[in-house]
Amino acid sequence: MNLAQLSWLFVKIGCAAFGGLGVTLSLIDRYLVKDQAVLAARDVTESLTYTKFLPGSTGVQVVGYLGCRLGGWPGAALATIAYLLPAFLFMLVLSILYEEVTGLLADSAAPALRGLTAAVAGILVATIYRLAKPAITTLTGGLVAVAACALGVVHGVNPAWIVLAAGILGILMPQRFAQEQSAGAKKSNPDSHGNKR
Amino acid sequence: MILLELFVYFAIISMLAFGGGNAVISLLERISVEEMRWITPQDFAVAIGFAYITPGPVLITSAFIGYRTAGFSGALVATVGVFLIPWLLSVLASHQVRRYIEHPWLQGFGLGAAPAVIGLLGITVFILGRYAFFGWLYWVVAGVALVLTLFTKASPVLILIGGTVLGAWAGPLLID
Repeated sequence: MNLAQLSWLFVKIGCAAFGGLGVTLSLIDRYLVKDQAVLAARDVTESLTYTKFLPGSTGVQVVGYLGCRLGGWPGAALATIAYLLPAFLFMLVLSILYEEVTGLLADSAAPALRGLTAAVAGILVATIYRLAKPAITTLTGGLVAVAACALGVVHGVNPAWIVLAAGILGILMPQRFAQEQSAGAKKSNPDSHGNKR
Repeated sequence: MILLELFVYFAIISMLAFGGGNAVISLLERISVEEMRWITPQDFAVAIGFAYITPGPVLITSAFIGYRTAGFSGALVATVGVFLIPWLLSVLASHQVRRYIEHPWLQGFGLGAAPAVIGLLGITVFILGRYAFFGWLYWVVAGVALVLTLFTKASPVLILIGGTVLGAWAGPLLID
């Protein structure tokens, strides 16, 4: 697979990746693992494992990681630019339209925007739930999450400091944030906690 | 110099995004609305809505904020700023620099930071709610959006369009 083909594939993935990371991963699996067979499913899992602890947009990092695997630095750069291009252009067009429309409609647009914002709030609560399920597995983790939210809402503490403080807490006592490894957990008798599903 | 400012702040935001783009939405709001006053709270709510409508990562919101602040070059600089360093880190990781990633300090930091960034998302819900929740209609919209997202495969695009249309149609009747 040459760099032009690689770029074109990632433009296609970038166009269809509505809903972010989950869809991106399934598209990578379809195009690069199944159709082209230039990557193994193992490579995709590996890219997730090693970008999980890095800060930043996971979708872009998975694309960069795999692009590098396929074509070195040029591959990583082209794949990522190709992946981001549709989103960037789409957002640019919306930004321009928004400027025009709010200028014209002013206050009459407010109810519609409130409706949009309310829907975003609902989707965001669902996202919080989905993110929290795998990431918050201990009481300490739960307390840190609640404290972070409360400190921000009530006292207006800068989120950057909250993240830094929680990260340092994680360095000092990692075992309080990570559940015991599944090797031990799975072997322990399954009926000790009545499994609800 | 506004472009340099955009680049630096978005780069900082990206480096604190432990757990992905969604993790720094509240920090994005804090910096672009409250501290730098690049955009209004209403702009921010719209930007997040647009980020859900468009394909790709949620941090493409940066293009909107950059555009509102400094036009096309602002959009470009903010977008490059928010993706460049995480991208570099991932390519370096791909280049067998894994021992740094497996360093217990970085792992521990990630473990501790993850719950905090999720809790911080709650602040964003409060901020969006303060702007949106004028009357029961908008609570219903948010509740329906939550239920649809959690329990069905409904496209977020359709949910957002539904919320917008309902707000535009029924909103004026409620407030007056």
